[in-house]
Amino acid sequence: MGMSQGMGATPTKQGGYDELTLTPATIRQYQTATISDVEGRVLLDGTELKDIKLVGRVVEADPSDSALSLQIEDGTGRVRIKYWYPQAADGTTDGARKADMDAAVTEGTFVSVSAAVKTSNGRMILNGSTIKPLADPNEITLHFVEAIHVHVDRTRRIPYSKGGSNPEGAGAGAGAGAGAAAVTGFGMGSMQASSSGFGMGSGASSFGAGLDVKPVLGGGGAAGSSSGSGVGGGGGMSEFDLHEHLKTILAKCTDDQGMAIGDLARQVQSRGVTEETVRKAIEDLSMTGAVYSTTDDEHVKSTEAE
Amino acid sequence: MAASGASSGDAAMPAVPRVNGAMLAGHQGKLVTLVGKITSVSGSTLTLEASDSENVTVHLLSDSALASGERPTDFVEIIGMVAEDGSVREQLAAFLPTGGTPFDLATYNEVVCLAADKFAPLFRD
Repeated sequence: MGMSQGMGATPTKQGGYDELTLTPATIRQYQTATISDVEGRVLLDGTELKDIKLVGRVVEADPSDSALSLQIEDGTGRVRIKYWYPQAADGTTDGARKADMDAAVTEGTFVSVSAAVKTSNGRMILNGSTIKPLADPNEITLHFVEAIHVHVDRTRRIPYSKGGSNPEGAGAGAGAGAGAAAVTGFGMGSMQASSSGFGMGSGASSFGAGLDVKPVLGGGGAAGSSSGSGVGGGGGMSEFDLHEHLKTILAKCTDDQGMAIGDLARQVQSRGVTEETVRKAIEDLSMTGAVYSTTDDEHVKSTEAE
Repeated sequence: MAASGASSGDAAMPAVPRVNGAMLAGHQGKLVTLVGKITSVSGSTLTLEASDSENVTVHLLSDSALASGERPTDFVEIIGMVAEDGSVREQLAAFLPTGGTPFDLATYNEVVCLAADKFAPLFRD
């Protein structure tokens, strides 16, 4: 029963999927989003929040002739959404679709909502574009995992040297002053949520087997805390030196399976670099193609080694 | 230059944190969101297997939908007040959606733990 008006995650005009236009989030995240004075844009985790996806339980459903006013709750907060019913050809409300919606979306129903985030008089409001009762209870869990994943992804873009600009809301401390000391303890870590085989309702594979949630979070913890705890600790290497140093070590390794990241970390330990920082650097290096994983995620090899 | 938060147009209602059995002790006297599987119902008392497999006693409302023997599913979300003895007094309850695949409590429990700890700012006040 998807009363969709064509909303969804779409690629940007530039042709990339870098910027999801539909952000999965918790209601609490929505409540912590800020309105940038510059153009009245709404920002969350340093990214413009245009359309939001929420999952929650209907607390109140108030239909009128032209629109359905909903209040939903997801355990993190409560929010109102206004959804205008689709119109018939003559411009009046499509009665049949309104009836379907009103019957399906009632107090106690769990729904998935996508909504456009607008501002009015300095406040944010949500205009629902799709409201759909959940087809599978595991969508509740999946939604929260996705919200966490997108959050980590968007807040991880933090240069830890050279003083580049920080995404809003990210941990402070990056680009420390003189450029000498890097942010060695600040490993945002990564959250791997691989949902291969996650066929909702396809019956092919069970949710439990498909979703593997491995959060690895070091250093400063979730974004939004600008206390800088765990950031800039222990002296150490600037980003440039660490990457080169790791590449040098790996280039000398002729083992087929390369080196374990743990071992690599131990080798640079004496320089005051934490394992988290090494892992982050390895990730950066693998993104640029300088190193790659071999037998498992823990082993990497340089593309320059024999 | 950003305007301050709390710009969502509604007075922000407090979060009703998602918890499992082990977390109840830390929320005495507070409202919690408890998702679990009904294992037995006896009169106005229900035993719920929370997402960490701990059994929780839930005291039901007199007109609770959970008291009936007929249920669309055993998986429920209960909003309730935690008592000193670790039981929960129902304020509101809803059955989880019934379609698709069976609810995976273990994976949900991982989310509960992440919401309580590492990603608390996304989930809690």
